[in-house]
Formats: sequence, structure tokens, C-alpha cells
Amino acid sequence: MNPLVPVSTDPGRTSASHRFQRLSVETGIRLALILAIFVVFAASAEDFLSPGNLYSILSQFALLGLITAALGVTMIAGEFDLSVGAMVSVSAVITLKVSDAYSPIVGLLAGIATGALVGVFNGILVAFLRLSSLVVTVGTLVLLTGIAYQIANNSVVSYDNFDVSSAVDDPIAQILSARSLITIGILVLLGLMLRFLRGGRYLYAVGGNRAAAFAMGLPVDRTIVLSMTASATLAALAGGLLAFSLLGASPTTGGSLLLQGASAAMLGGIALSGGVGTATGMALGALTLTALNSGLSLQGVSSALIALINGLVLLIVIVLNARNLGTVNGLLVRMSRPLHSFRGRTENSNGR
Amino acid sequence: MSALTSTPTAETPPGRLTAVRSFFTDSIRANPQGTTVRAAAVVVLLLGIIAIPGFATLNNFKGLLASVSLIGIAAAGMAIITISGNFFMLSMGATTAVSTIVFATTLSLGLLPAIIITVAVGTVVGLLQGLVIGGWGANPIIVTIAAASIILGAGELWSGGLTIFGDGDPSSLNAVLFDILPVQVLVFFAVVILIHFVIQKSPFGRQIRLIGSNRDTAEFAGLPVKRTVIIGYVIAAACAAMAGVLLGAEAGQGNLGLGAEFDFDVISAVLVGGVVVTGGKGTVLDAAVGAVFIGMVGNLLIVGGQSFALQTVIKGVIVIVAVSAAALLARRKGKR
Repeated sequence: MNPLVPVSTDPGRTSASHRFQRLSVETGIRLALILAIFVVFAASAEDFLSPGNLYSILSQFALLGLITAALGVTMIAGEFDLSVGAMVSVSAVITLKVSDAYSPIVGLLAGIATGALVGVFNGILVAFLRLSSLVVTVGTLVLLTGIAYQIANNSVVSYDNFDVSSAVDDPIAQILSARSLITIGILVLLGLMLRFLRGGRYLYAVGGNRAAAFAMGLPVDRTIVLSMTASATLAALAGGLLAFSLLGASPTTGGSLLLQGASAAMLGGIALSGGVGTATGMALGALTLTALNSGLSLQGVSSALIALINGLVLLIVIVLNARNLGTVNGLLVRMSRPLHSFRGRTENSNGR
Repeated sequence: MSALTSTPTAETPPGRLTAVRSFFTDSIRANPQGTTVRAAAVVVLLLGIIAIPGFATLNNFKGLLASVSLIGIAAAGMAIITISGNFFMLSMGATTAVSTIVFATTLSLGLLPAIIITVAVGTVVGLLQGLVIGGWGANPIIVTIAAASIILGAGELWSGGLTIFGDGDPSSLNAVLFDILPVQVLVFFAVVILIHFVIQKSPFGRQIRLIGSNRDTAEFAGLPVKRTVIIGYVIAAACAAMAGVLLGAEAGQGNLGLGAEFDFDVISAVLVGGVVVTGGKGTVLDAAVGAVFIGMVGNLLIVGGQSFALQTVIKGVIVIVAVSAAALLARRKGKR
């Protein structure tokens, strides 16, 4: 027998050592991919590695990193949050409105609190009514879009407190900013929680094999509520910070973030079937995508072509992932077995 | 309207025609959400007629049905995807938007060629997604999110981000037959009835439903699962393209902004109508009723002087309440 065959293609069931090996190899591949992007673009555009451009890459990362984390925690738990983009818009609008009336701190907290509230609501519907998170979050997406239009009164909300925008956006050590530091801090925190906290481990168990997690007596419902809450809260934080940075917000602020967040999470190796993924992966996925987009726009590629390329990237990743070709072990196992003994991803993700 | 609300759902047990009461209980049991939405639609209709002045006019009904038509046509396509167990097609709005451009561009060739070319382009787009999802087994949500981005990106490259004015006369698609039936509504009814019967009565439709309710069984039974799912995507994208044709004709132009918020309106219609996201349950007619119901509520709010924002909020609330109520009902049924 090929020694690779006993390794299950369902990553939730691999043993700890296998998982560790595989993850570190995959992290290496992701780092190599980012390195390749940096080398290619640095060679073709001299501005790519300038502090100014690195700062702009990290500013975009500050937004996308949080969205990727939001989608990532729900994907690890085996759920999916379609409402992240709308949550960003609502939180951005609320943050600016409340900041204008009270103070920026209160505004940001109000935005985040709204996110937590929406997340708990999503989570309760998903966990206790056994509803698909896709269905629930379509509902909240429409609802939140309406609320954003209502609060913004069908127009753009602006806020002319330049202290706030310089507080979140002023360069720190040339390439960083408070916004990107917050995102990096949150990703580190999330990584530690996922790895070392009991609740973090439950997330993998619930996403990897929900029936087994339930049979073992794990708090499945609570874990789902927590993951949906974390998702909406992270999206709300991203929205609030974005609003401070732009000093403006509109009901369509969060528009294209779902595509980019999903692309980054998939690039980062978060499996749609649940139970797999790390904060490192989310960070690397988000960084890869922002670096790619920044490099492309430096080359003078139009925004339409960039959108098309982003879609293609996501499509390639999902096509590889669908038959487990996206992971090193999956690829090896796949090559050592006849084609027809494997089944697509859809069957796995269909049932709850 | 009454023709839609009183049509019995398929597969209610025989004998239902013997007594009116058993007809109602049977249809509630067979399709609790669908029946509830139909009842709610009638209640809202009556409420509107009585309470909102300006609602019960012929012109308003024409406008209401015309505005629902595009969503309804796309919802019929979306219902196929949902019934086949592939959740949603999130590239539908993008397909509709690009179709308005294809339609406006090809209109100089004549109306019929423009319609045929636009729908053909739509079917190709659907075929490609179907191949990746049904043939290769990739996740339907992510593939269609990616497809939406590719389609819109390609559309913007093609049009240069500009509005394209058609060089031709699409006005016969905007006509009102016999002063009462807009062509759009006629297309809506035709598409819904056609697809409804295909899904309920044809072998292909039965395969779609079986794949949705139990894919493993469908595979073991030797059904052509891949081919069926692929055809489902082709039909769904063709519906989106048809909606794009009508939208382009109505606006007199092709523009990527048209149909931007389409996806979630269509999904709302499908969910509210009682098509269940886990697959296999619900009919195309349910989705159409969902579209009419949501459109009617929105119309009531507009005629009543409310804002677009409130309309969207209410739409979201309806979706959440409908799916929650359906889940609670299903749960009670399971416990019994």
C-alpha cells in the first residue's frame, strides 16, 4: 500500500502530526506564492516596493484582513456569512452618524455593538432553528442594506473630523498605520484563540464533523452562535475603521467585499466544508490578494480587468479545492488513487 | 393573481377535489409555506384594495406585474438551482446586467436575432458554470460568486464601462396587449408555466427534484446527475438573460448598473415562496408567487408613500420571518 493512502482526504479527520506537517508545507507554499507575486511585480514596476506602495498594500490589507477573518471563522465552523459586505456598510454608516452626534469612540463602539447584535441574531437563527446560514444571511443582507439606506437617508454620510482619519491612517514606521496594526493584532489574537482556547478547538470540531462534536457533548449551538457573532463583529469593526479612514460612508460601501473576502479565505486554505483553516492562512490569503491587486493596478491594469482576474483566481482555487487538488497531501493522495474513487466537494457540503 | 393563488401544488394526494376542506388541509400539509404565502398574498391584496387609495387601479396593477415580471422570470430559473440542491446562483444579477449590454449591442441586427443571441450568450455562461459545478463538483456558491465577478469584469471591458444605446426598436417588448397585458407579464407567465411543468412533469424535472432531495440516491439509481445539474444551470442562466432582454428593452439601453441588486431580490422571492434551500422541496410556481408577494408588498409601500429604504427593510424582514416560520413548522412536524 502507498503510505499516503491512509491519510483521509477529509482534513478534519487527519491526525495531529499529519495535519501539522501538511499545514506547514501549505503555509510554505502560500509564502512562496506571495514572494513570487512580490518578486514579479517588483521586477516589473519599480514603485512596487516603495514605502508608499507597501503602505497602500497594508491599508487595503487592513480592510480585507478583517473581512477574511470574518468569513474565515464562519467557514471553519462549517457556515457561511453572506452578509459581511452589508454589515460593513451598516456599521460604517452608524459609526459616522454616532460619531457626529457624540464622539468617534462612541461611534466606533456603536458600530461594533450593532455588529455583535446582528451576529447573535444570525447565530441564534442558524443554531436553534437549524436553518442554513446561507438562507439566514441572505435575509440579514437584505435587511441590513435597507437599514443602511434608511440611516444614510439614501445618500452618502460624511464626517469632517480629520483628526480621526489621521489617527487611523497616519503612517507608522513608514508602511504601517493604526488601521493595519489593529488588523494584524486581531489576526494574531484570532490565531492564538483558534489554536489554544477550548472555544477555538470546538470551532474545528463543529465544522469538521458536527454530528461527532454533538455526540461528544460539545456545545455545538453555542459555538455556532459565537462564530456568527465573531463574523459580524469583525465585519462591523472593518466598516467602522474604513469609515474613519474615508471620512465617508454609503449604503454600498461594502459592495465587492464578499468576493474578495471569499477569495482571500479560499487562497488562505480555509475549506468550505468546514473544520480546516488557520489565522495565518487568512492573513496570507488576504495579503496575496491585496499584493496581486496592487501590482496589477500599478501596471495600469483597469479595474474591470482586475475584477475579472480576481474572479478567475477564486475560480481556479475552488476548482482545485473541489477535488482536493489544492492541498499538497490531497494532490499526492489523488495521484495515487484512481479518479473515480473520489467525490466532489458538493456532496460534503450539502448536508447539515 | 387568483389563478396563481388557487392552483394546487403538485402531488397533493388524490381525493382532494372531493371536499374543499380536505383540499385546504392537504395543500397546507403538503406545502405549508407555499400555502401560507399564497394566503398572505391574498390578505395583502385585499388590505391594499381596502386601505391604500391608488393601489387598486388598473395602471398600478399593470405596473406592479411588470415590475415583478423580471424578478419572477429570474426566480423561475433560480428555483431550478435551489430545487436541485445547489443553493443559489449568485451570478444571476451579473448575467442579467451583461445581457442588457449584449441585447443593446445586437439590437441593430433586428429584435428577434438580438433576443436569440442574448439568450444564447446566457446559456453559454450558464453552461460553463454548470460544467464547473455539476461536472467537476465545485462549490456552487463560490463558483457563482467568482462567475459574477468574471462576467461583470468582462462586460465592463466589452462596453468600456459605458452605457450602450441600442440601434433598433425594442418597443414591441414594452407593448401592452389589448391595453391590459404587458408583454413582459406575458413572458413572465409563459416562462413560469413552462418551467413549472417541465420541473413537475418531465423526466428531467423529476431528476432535478430527486438530485435535490437525495443526491446519493440519485447517483446510485444511475441518474445522469452531472448532465442534469448542468442543464439546470443552462436554463437558469437563460432565464437571467431573458430578464436582461426585457430590462434592456424597457430601459432602452445596455448598462451594467441594471440588475445590480437583482440577485438577492430573486433569492428572496425563491425563499419566501417556499422553495427549501436544502433542495428537493418547493416548485417553480412557489418562487413566482414569492416574487409576486414581495413585489406587492413593495408596491403597497411605494403607493403608500414610503421610502425605498423601508421597502428593503421590510423585504429583509419578510425573508427572515418566512424562513424562520418554515423552519419552526418543519421542526414541529418532525417532532410529531
